Amino acid sequence: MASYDRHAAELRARFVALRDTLPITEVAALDSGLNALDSVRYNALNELAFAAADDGDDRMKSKVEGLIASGRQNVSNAISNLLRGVASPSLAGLAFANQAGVEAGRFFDGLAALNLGAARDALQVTAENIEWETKILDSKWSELSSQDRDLLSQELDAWKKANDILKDAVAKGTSLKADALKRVVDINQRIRDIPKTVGEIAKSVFDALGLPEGLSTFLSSEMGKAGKKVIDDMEVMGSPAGDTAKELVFHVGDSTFRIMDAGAWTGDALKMAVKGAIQAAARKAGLDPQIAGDCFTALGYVSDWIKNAAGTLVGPYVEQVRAVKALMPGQGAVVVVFSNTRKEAFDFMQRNDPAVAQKQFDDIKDGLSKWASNSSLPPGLQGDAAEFAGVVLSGLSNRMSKLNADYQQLFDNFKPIFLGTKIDPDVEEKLMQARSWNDLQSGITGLRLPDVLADWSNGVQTVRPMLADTLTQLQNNLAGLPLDIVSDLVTQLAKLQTDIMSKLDSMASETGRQLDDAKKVVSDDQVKQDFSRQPMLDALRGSER
Amino acid sequence: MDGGTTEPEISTRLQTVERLDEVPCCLRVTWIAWDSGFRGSDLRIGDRIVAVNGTAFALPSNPSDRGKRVSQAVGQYDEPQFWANAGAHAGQTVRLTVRRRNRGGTGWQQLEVAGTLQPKANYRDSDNEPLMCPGGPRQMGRDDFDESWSSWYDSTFVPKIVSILDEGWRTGRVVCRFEMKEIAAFQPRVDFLAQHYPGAFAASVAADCAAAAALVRGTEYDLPPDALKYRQASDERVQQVAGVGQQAWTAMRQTLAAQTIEAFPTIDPIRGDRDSVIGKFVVLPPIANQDWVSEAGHNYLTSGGDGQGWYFADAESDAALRMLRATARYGDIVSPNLGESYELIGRIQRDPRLLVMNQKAIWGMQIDIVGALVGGQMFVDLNQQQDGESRFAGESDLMARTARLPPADAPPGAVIAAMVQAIKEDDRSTWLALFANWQITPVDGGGFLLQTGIDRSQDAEMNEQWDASRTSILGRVFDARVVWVDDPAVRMTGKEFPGAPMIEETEVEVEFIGQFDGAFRGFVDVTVYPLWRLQRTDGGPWRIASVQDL
Repeated sequence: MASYDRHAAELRARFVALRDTLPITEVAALDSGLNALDSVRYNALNELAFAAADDGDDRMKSKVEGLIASGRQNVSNAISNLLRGVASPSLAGLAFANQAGVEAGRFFDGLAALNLGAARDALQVTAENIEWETKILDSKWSELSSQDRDLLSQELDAWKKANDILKDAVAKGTSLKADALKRVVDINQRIRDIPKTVGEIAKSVFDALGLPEGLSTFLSSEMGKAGKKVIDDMEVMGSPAGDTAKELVFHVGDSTFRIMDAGAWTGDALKMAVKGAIQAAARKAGLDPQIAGDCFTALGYVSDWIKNAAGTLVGPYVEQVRAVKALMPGQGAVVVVFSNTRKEAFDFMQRNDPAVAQKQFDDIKDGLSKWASNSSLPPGLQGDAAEFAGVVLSGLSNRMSKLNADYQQLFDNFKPIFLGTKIDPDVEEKLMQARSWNDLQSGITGLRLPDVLADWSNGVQTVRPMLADTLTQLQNNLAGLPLDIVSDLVTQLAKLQTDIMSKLDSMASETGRQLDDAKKVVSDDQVKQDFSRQPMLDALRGSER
Repeated sequence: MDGGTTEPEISTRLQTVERLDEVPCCLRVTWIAWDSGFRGSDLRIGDRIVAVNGTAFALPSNPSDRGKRVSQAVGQYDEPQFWANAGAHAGQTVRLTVRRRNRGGTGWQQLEVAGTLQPKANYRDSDNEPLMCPGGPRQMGRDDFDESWSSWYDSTFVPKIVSILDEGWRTGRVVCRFEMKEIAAFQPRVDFLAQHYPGAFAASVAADCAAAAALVRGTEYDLPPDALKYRQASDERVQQVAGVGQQAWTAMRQTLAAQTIEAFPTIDPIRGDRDSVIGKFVVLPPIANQDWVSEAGHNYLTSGGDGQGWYFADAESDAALRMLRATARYGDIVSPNLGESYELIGRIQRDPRLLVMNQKAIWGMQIDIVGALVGGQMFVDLNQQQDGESRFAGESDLMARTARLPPADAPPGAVIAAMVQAIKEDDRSTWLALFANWQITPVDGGGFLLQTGIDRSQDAEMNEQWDASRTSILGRVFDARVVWVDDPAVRMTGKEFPGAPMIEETEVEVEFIGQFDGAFRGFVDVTVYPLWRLQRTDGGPWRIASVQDL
């Protein structure tokens, strides 16, 4: 407990030394006045020290300034009252009072110049700011990580969906590919089979026409049956050639018919009949409008396969990529605010560095020390000042200790997030989830989509030569027959080949474009780029020091 | 036939008062008789005679000899005896060393003036009637005036002239406009003398009258128009600034209309299309005190709410600080009563911000403030800068604030000038800080009580002085100028007791400027205090020790 009694003793000693030279009225007045002065000064200093060392949360600047002013005034008044009631004070008495007044003035001047209240409040503000900043950073990190988590969740969902889309696209594409190619092979086989059937019929017809011994064979019931079947088919067709053939077969079936006689009237009619019979046989074998339609249908499966598979890649997949990218500005906002918060937190820590507070504390300490050793103050007042300084510094030291601890706590708590020179890897992963992104990227690149697409492209590429070869072979198989008889058939085949090749070319062009588009979207480079966290990481790490 | 006889007594024909309290002690000239040998010399009423013919005016060390020394001094009643003792004769030249205020400057100048000793004449006419001077008028004559010449001259004219010329300015008894009328009333006699009794007497009366008239008419000052801006009434300034402010506010909004978007609802700072609003302007509704948010000591102005989004403006940005400084200047030079609401025009920034309000982190878009209407009255265009400041609309038409405490080594005149400026600018705190916080109070018995650390801010008397000063500067006083500063004198040596301060004191003379008949002229009257005492302790800053109003 401070006593602040050294100056009181000092004044009392001066008074004692002087009292014998003073009129009795002055002695009494001074004796009484000094007691009052002691009390006033003690109260002033006690209250002031308590306020300056206050460890509460309230600002004390005004109060300390007010207490210095009122303390000074009260002491000044008490000194002015030292000679109260003395009508004509002696010069010695006046000098005593004036000296006490001047010393008190210097004491309070020095104290006021220290701005103790403001200095104490500065420490208080720093301590308060540190507590405040802890809550602020807590709130911000909570909000940032929550928003980031939502955004990341949506991003990862979209990526997973994209991954699934690709997997499905590959599976579906592979399935469609098999089906489509099988259909093409089947139709190809059907076309391949056409010349075989047509050739056999044609050969039988010509054998029968050219060789007498063969005539019996031709006239055999089997032939008749075959011819009957042809006629039946030709009836369905209702063509003139059908009618001619019908007549021919009628006569052939007649026992009185002589083949040699037939030449006169059969002539061209027979040729026509044979021609019609061959054409009918060709149709019968499958070389009819339906074969073209079936062929186009088969090619349509190829087209649909590519369209569906590649379309999934450039459609729904791209849609997902776009969805993820649409979320990027949101995460960018989170990253920017995170980075800005780091910068602001760093600035805060610099501004509120305990070294700054320590300097303020040291300044207070130095100021108090200089004040207490001010040679213009008498030793007693210096002693009281030193005692006062001790009380104040003791209080402020406690605040400094707490301030240091709070600052360190703040730093430790937020070093991994906002305050470290580097962002903690776990925090970075929490914000970026780069590993998850990498896993998803690996999953996608593991689908080897470029290879799949190349395979699909190759699959498409095999269709054209296969069909072209078959159609060419079909035409070649008719090469041994008289041109005037198979000309229509050749023309028909040529048209079929042209149509199919045109369709093939058109399909190849379309699917090629689709595959090219797909290749661009799912190329390893593009996938890496789409899945890259680097720009975001760069932005995040931009706040590192 | 006129004629005269002369008394045997010779003197300087001066009147003086002893100033034994001055350093050096002296004799102050209060009158120079019309027939004095110093008429026409450079000697002036108010001059301090410190030496005669090179001999300093000093008091004998023996107190019993002092009375005689003073009574026989120049201008004193027994002066002739001194010259008689000295064997002087009429016409003999006397050299006076005088000190004279270095008016318009500082301290005193010392100069030598010479005149002759003259007998005290007794003029009479042929009827042996006493005359005022050779050639009349008769002392008892009236010449149709209501008072004899002798009575008028001795009892009316000379006292009046002396009261004005003998430091009448400093006595507080002279009322210029009243004295002007009094002096003007002398003019018929002055003219009559010149017409009917021309000569040295008439000339001296005319000269004295003219000198006094010139003094009470006052020095004419040319005050530039902006010197009176401080007199503009506060409410007039408020209306003026509010008028131009509202116009400028409207103009800025119109100018930016094409680039301005509806402020609310704001774009979602995270998921919204921020690019669509970046760089666009918003006009925010008034931001009140409670909308200011501090984040660990860093302040932001906020606008918005849950459901409609938020805008944040950094209150410590350069633009915001310029806005706040403009607001502070408004408080200084227009009115301290400016509503604390801020209507802002802001440009939306690229980066959003998180701000913790009520312990909750809130997202918002940040804006750069480009314009602000404060309190609905003060507009500041923050796109405009001059010397690092943005002036509020109408500011350039107002008086600039210059009142501040002068430097610690400022001379006393500068302290008084600062006081006048503070009163003009209604800056009570600066005015108050210019007064000494100590006081020397004389006590019976010749000692004094020194009081230090006086808190004048709580002094009721100071409040009265302040109010009176403001009334004065907004009323009859249009300006006040320091016209003379005394040399400092030591009031306390610092040796009076252990630790005693050295206290110096000086006096500053101020001339007040009023408006009379359309002109600005110096004046004094009983409502103003031309003399100001200043003190300083231990060589510190000069402070005003006279607790008085302007």
